[in-house]
Amino acid sequence: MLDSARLRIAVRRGPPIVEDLRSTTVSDDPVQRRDLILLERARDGDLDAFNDLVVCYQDHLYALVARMVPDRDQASDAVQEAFFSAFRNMHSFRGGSVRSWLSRICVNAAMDAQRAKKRRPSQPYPELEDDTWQPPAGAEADPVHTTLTHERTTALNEALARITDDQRTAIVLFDVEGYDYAEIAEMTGVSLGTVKSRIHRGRLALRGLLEDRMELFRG
Amino acid sequence: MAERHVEHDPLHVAAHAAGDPGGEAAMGEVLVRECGECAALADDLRAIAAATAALPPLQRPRDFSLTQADASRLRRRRLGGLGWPSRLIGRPLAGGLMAIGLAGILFSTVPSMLTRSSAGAADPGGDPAASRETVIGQGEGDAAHNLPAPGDAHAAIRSPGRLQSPGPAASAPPSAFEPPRRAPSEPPALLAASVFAFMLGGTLYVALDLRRGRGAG
Repeated sequence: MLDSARLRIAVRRGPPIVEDLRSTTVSDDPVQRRDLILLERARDGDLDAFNDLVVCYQDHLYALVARMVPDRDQASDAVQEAFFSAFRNMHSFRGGSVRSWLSRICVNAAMDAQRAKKRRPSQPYPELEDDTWQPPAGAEADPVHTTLTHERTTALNEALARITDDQRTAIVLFDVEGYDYAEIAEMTGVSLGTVKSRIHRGRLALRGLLEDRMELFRG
Repeated sequence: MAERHVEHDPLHVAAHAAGDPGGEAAMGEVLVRECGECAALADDLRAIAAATAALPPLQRPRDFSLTQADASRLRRRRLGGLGWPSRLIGRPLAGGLMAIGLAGILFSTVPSMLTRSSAGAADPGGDPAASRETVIGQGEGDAAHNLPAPGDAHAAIRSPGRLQSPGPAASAPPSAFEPPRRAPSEPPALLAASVFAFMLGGTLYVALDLRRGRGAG
């Protein structure tokens, strides 16, 4: 075995070239390029640059976490903790999309919040109502349509708050955030098959919970 | 086919409704084509998925920007987490403390255990009270009772001092002529306290360091 051809080739081959993506990757996407510049400046100690990133992504990340953790206070705390964690660990960012990196940190923070809620089940999640925000209604808005949309949103939020945390996380990441199965599997640390199963079972559970109100969703 | 709907696997229908590739979705497609209730279920699942995707965004309750105080605190924590004292000095120091503690325990307990076991071996059928007196040297009340008889060689070996003071003095309590002896291998209190402190310090440091490492990760 020691004098096999494969070994000789392996010995002749030089060490693999490891590319450091952190400072050399230049993205074609202007948003990504802006994010990388801001992150580079934040790494150099510019807090305003980091806060520019916070301003860019806090709406998106709060919406993501609040769908996963229906308790508003817990969701806020999880997002704040995620930004703290991002600030602490920005030197370990290895390139790629800053948005995905922040989303991953937020998903982890949200999952931690879910686990904390399980450990201290003081009260079940309150239903996730969107009373604090309503879509802007133009003058031509149809009141019937607006009412229907509101009822549908309320019913769906209530049902989402009642399925399991794992199913809700998978559904939110897939349907609301638009991640694919592989990305969700990587984010949540489970297999691709588990992600599919959670999404399918979660949708079936939602359908079971909404069975009496399905007319809101049809047509 | 509809009467057999209860036998149909809804997960196959869900896979088909989600547009998954693969065998499950293919089976789901057959079910949807041939079973009206499965077709209705698939429609409902698609409607729910569409409604979920169209959920309005939630308004955040506050601004999540970091203040200067936050940044300073987090920088300090980051430096503390990476801290060279922790890796280069702290851990070896903690390991050393634990080793010293362990060595102290060994040195203080093993000789006394050996002494006890050798005393037990030397007098397997002897009087337990006499043996206790020999090892510990505290037998005050029954010392006179345990004084050796002239022909008792074993007892003479055990307490040779007593042989040199026979006669009337033998009836006096031993404290009158012989102070109580300490066991030769009993660890001093200071040594025991130091050993305990070393062990405790080292263990606490390692535990805290491990906990901090988990938090940073």
